[in-house]
Amino acid sequence: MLEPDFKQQPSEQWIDEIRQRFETERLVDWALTSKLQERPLPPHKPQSLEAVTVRLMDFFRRRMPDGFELSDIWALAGGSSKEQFRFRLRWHDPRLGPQDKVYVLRLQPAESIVETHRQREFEVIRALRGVIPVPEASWCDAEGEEFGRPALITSFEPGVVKPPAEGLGEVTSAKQGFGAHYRALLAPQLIKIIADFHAFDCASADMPSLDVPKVGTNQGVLWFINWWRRVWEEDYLEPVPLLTYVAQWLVANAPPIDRLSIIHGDFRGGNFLFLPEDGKITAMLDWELAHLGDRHEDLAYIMNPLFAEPDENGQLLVGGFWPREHFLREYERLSGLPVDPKRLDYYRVLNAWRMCIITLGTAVRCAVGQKTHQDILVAWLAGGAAIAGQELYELLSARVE
Amino acid sequence: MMVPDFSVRIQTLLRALNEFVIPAVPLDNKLAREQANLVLGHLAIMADQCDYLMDFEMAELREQCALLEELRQSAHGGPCTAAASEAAAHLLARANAVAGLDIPVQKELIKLVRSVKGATDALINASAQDGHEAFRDCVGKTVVKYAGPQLLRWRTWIRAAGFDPTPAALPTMEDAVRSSPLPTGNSSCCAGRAD
Repeated sequence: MLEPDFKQQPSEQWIDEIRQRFETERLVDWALTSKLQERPLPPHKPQSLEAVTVRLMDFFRRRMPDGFELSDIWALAGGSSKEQFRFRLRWHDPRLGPQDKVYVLRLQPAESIVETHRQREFEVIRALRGVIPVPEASWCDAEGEEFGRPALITSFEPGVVKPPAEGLGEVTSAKQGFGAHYRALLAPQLIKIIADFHAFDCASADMPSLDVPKVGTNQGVLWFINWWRRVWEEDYLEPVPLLTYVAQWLVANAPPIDRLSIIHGDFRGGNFLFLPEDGKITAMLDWELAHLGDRHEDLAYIMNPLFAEPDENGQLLVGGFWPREHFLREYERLSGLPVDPKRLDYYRVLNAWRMCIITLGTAVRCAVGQKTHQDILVAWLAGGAAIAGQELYELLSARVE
Repeated sequence: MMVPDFSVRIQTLLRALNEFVIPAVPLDNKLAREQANLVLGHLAIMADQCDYLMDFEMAELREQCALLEELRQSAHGGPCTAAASEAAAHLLARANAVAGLDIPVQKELIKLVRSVKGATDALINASAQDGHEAFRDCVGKTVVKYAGPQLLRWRTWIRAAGFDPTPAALPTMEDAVRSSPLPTGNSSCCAGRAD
């Protein structure tokens, strides 16, 4: 292997310079800075079930002095970003009586394919409870004081991420292969979900960890661009001039945000659970990239070719679910929010650029440093950069001539 | 784009096998455990070798050319010996041309590629700071122009991962790695324009 570059042992001076160069949201800065400060530490060792059990016992002992029962703890497969453990908790709530619930503990490894702050995820999930299907966000150890690593506990929702015939149903993949039957059941629900959370009045929600950009300006877009420019600078092993140029293009062309929405940031198949028996969506998952921004970002994201899948006639469907025009018109009808084709195009460029950064930069850097609980998966995902890059190339070709 | 390169990939394979797969193989399944450990062994060999593939073959080539040349110079005998010696001479003419090339070792080549890309990055960034307008216009067109064939090569390189929506449209690996635009002196969109 080539000798490790200086980014594996970043100096405090370099970290400070990067923070100053790329102004972004407070807790995004916190998460990225923590990542760099911990980068020189030894490779990540996934926590054993025994160690997780001890942490959970201590955690609930502090909160349930009258006693509780913890059982059925096991590691969940699926997901490339966080270690996940399912457990059952029984206790007596003084107001509600006997409780018997199943939860998921999401534990952050040393570095993740996306580096985010648990408090942000916690607050967004809480805000959307009752608006769309999401788990119940129950506890948050944002700085890892109790679990050794930042952690989030949510309710365990029933369901699968893929139709059962396709396999285990819990493996991370860009393509899900839902087929005609499940497509018919899931597509209308999904479009309602995205319409509803985009239309949600985020000013009314309690989300102090999310910075609020000025509406009518491109401040939020510039924060977001800086977030990912910083990630690229911190993580890349090999420069990619195309990405450097595109960053400049994005800044020069950043449109104002007309209305703030909660943006999921990774809205696609594989990030929601549904019941295989009737296709009912039980929970939208993976809100760690959530931020306040322009709805066109999420719309453009699911339009990336990486998520497109053909129907039985070979027509490529957005996200594997909808013909493009149907998707956009139905979204407008359900959300009451217009879709601006120019902004959609802009965010297609931004998302393709961001996906290149995640796959070519962060995924590879995590694998080099052995910083995740599944380096083999993040290294695999690096291959997606070729497709995201092709999308970027095609979009830019039409714009620079 | 070689990232992740083979050594990083192999590192992740070893980790996955050691931490998850092999511990899950029942102790009494001796065949499976043996095969798994052999996989580990093969991967360890590959990890050792993967950064030196070209260098190894070049070392072999130079040595074998020297051996063949030394033999050929001593080759005296009947028609068979003469014919074999002559065939060797023809081959050596071609082989020595390759053996004599000043090819950087693989790691140096990779570093050089990264340095060139880094210098390109620096020029792009500098253009944003104080590049003249004509040059700034040029940057996007030029970078995007070269991105096209590069991306085709990347997509072919990673085709086996199954990410590509149109894999049938991709060239063969041989075509993808052989064809690339050669830089030409006057192809710049700014050539000849006064700043």
